Order: sequence, then C-alpha cells, then structure tokens
Amino acid sequence: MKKQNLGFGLGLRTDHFHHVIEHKPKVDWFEIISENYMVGGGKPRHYLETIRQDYPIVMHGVSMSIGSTDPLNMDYLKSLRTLAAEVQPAWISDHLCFTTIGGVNSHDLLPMPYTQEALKHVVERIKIVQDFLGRQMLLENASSYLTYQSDEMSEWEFINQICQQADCLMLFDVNNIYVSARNHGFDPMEYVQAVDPNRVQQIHLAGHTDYGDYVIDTHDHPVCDPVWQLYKETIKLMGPVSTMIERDDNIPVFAELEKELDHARALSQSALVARNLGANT
Amino acid sequence: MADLKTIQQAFIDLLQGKPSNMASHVQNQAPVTTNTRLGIYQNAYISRLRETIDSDHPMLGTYLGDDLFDQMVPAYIKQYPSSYPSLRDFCQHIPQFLQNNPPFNAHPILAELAAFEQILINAFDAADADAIGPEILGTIAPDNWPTMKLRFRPCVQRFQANWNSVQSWQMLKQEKQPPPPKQLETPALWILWRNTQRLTEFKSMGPDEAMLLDVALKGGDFADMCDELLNFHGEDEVAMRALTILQQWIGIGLIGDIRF
Repeated sequence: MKKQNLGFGLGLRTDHFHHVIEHKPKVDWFEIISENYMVGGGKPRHYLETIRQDYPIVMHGVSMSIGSTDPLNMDYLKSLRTLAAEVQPAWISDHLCFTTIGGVNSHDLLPMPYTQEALKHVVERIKIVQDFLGRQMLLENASSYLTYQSDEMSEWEFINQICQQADCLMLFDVNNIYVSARNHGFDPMEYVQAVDPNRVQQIHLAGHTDYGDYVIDTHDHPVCDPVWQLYKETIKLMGPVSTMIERDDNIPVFAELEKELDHARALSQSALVARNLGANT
Repeated sequence: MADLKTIQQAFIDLLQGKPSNMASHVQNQAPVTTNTRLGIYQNAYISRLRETIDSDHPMLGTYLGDDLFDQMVPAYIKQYPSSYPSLRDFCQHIPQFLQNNPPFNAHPILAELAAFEQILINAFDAADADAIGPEILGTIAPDNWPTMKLRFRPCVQRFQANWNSVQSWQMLKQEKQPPPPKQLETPALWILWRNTQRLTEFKSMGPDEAMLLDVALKGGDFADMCDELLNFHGEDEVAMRALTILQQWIGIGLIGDIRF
C-alpha cells in the first residue's frame, strides 16, 4: 500500500548541509543516497542526524543490483538495514537495473532486458529484499541508451508486472522517461499513461544533457521544459505524488533548487486543478 | 535468445575492455549507432572511476601530473576493478598498485603519498566516539594507574613515512611546489585523528610517543608503557613523560575511554 504524500523534497547534498541546518528552508523532505552514509561516522553522518530532526528522510540506493544474476549482496543489505534502523526513513528505494556482475561493480545503472526470464528473476529478488528489510521497497525506472534484441515487452509493461508480482512500489523518474523516450523513439506519454498510478510513491525530476540525436541523464542541469510538461501530465493522471528534484553535479546554490521546487509545486497545483475539473466534467 | 546471465556478462566485459559480443545483443536504432550507444556506457564507467580517484587522491593527482595520472587511472581500473557497493572503497588498493607497477614503483614516495591520503579518508569517516576529558585523570586511584589501558577513538590512525611524503602533501595542499623526493634518515611517525569539529588533523610524533602509541594500541597498560619508555628516558623520568604524553593525547581528543 502507498504511504503518505510527503510533499516536495530535494536530494540532500554535502554542499548544502550548512545551509539546511542554519536556515531550515521550506523543503518538505530530503532524500539521501544510502551508500554515502554507510560509514562509521564523521561529518556526513553528523549532519544527517541533525537534519533528520527537522525533516522526513527517504533513502535512495544505487548499489542493490536487484537485476543482477550475481547472488544478492547480503553484507550490503545488512548495512542498508542498519542504516535504515538509524535513519528511520519514510521509505527505501533503488533502481531497476543491474550494477554488479561476477563481483565487479560497474557503479552504473545498467539496463535490464525486458524478458520473462528477467521479470521472474527480479520479482524473486525483490521479495527476498523486502522480507529482509521488513518493508516494501520502491524501484526506480533507470534511463537507458540501448534496447536489447531479446526484449519481449516494453519497459512500462515490465515495471508494471514487477510492481504487481513483487508487490513493490515505484519511484517514477519523469526525467528518465523523457531521456529513454528520446533515446529509443517512443512517446513518453505512452509510458506515463501505462504505469499503474497506485504503485507510484515518489517522483524524481532532474536535468540531462542533450546531444541532439541522444540524451544523457547527467543530473547537472536544471529541469527542462519538456520534462516539466511531462511532470504536469503525470500529476494530472496520477494525482498528488511526493516529488523531488535530483541534482548530483554542477550543484547550484540552495536558493536555485528551492526556486525549481517552487515551480514543481505550482505545476503540480495547476495539474491537480485540471485533474479535478476534468473529473467534474 | 541470449539468457540474462550471458547478456550481463557481455556487458561487464565490454565495460572492462575485455573481448565482448555485447553489440550482438543490442538492437540497431538509427540514427544513433550501436557503437555510440555502447560508448556512452564505456565512457561513464571510466569517467566515474576516474573522478573517484581524482576526488580521493587530489594531492597524488597533482604530484603525478596529468600524463602520469592518465597512465595510472586505466591501469588501476583494469588491475583493481571495483568489487565494492560504495565508491568510497574503490581507491583502497592504489598504494599497493603504485608500489608494484612500473613506472610508479621506481618512485616509492608515490605509494606513500597515496597511503597517507587513504589514512586521511579513514580518519574522516571512522565511527564516532566521544573523547574523554582531562578531569578523568583526577578520578583514578593511585593503585589503578599501572593497570590502566587506553581505548583510542576509532578515528585515530598511525602513519609511518620513510620518504618526505607528508611534507610533500602539505606543500601541495598549499598549492606550492613540493620538495624533491627524499628518503628520510629515520622514519617519520605521524598520528591522525578527527577533532571535535569533525575536521581531520595530524601531527608528528617523537620516537618515544610513537612507541607508547604502539604499546597502547596493542593493549598494553600504563605499566607496560612506562617499561618501554625506559628505552628512551631514565627511570625517574618515565612516569612523568608517560603522563605528559597521555595528557596531550587526552587534550587533543584521541582517547575514547580508559579501562582497568
């Protein structure tokens, strides 16, 4: 079952620790990268502990490697569970991808083939992880730059099936859908319309780098207009969803991200009005 | 159709620059070629690991210069691919790599410089533990002093330099020209820790202080420490010298606890 809507959040980055602690900005919640806090102590853990007194936190991982044919890394999962016990996040997410094969970590979100074999494999592993963590997890759609010969279904059919069969939730990355749509030539609205809104717990918004024929998901630019538009359509279809802006590189001053977040609030609000009007007509 | 494991192995082989038939698993989607699509992943793999080395070893990178750094990065990635969930741990074999591979192994200061930067990272994010204050010494009964054992905070690290690596690191940090590499006549001993403001600090140790640290780290008690100090000081001086060093350690926040 979906959890409460947290409102509008930001990714917590080291550049902004002092600003957040000192100014307590009007941000509803923060998302942390789980792996960055899987350390014994020091500054990052101290700042996180301070900030979490004032803001709800969600944990977002990059190394679960849920789609890998390597065995699940139980040491990693233990660290994740320990961190969750200490941070008490509203929820935990990772990506629908594989990162590690043969013990080698690519530190990248490598795309899954959309096959029945992969579907069964991922579903089994999510169930194990959810049992181990004692909670439902969120899976994020990763951006991709290639399509496999062996694909048997679309990405949205694949992720819908996973969420349903594993009973997990989805972190719906609007930018990733835009990036993948550009790279593979599908209509992003087809994706938005196909995903089960009852499974979407959180939305990511981010920027990317446009190379003309293809787009790379770099998280180093402001959110662009087509992604904002896609976000608005998403909220119109799905209703209110916890939304956050991810910025991982070329990190601006905090005020700039607050401004982007205000824009997300405004767009969401107008999309909800349109949704309600549509429902009444 | 290829199974999941075959595809995933082909993908990781491609990233590692090994023979791979990954292209045969990928649909042709004009106008972007399959090579370009695969190249996006190959570039991301190398550049992400390169950025990690650059970020964890800033002074080593400056010391090496662009050409040698560019030579080191792909060779290190090939020899020590990451097997860790976090990039935090990826660089831990760099000192060993520099020690064992030409042309770097011809310059032992490089491995030492890298080891020093690794120790700084370890001190930065070691587990938290409160430091005891100086008032605790006044509470110890005279009979308990000989059996007193020190428990250091987890951030405390010991470093031995056989070359002028730490001086070179300091100069580079100040954006100054480092001195030419030089082997020291006697090893320089350093202690590193994270202070109460969570900033990493380090200081050099004399041979007697370094020896006391070794005894204490191995679980020796205050009596053992005084015994070892006899190698450096007269019998009537050792207790006072041990106490002075202990007070300094407590003063800068190295000690987490004392046990009997």
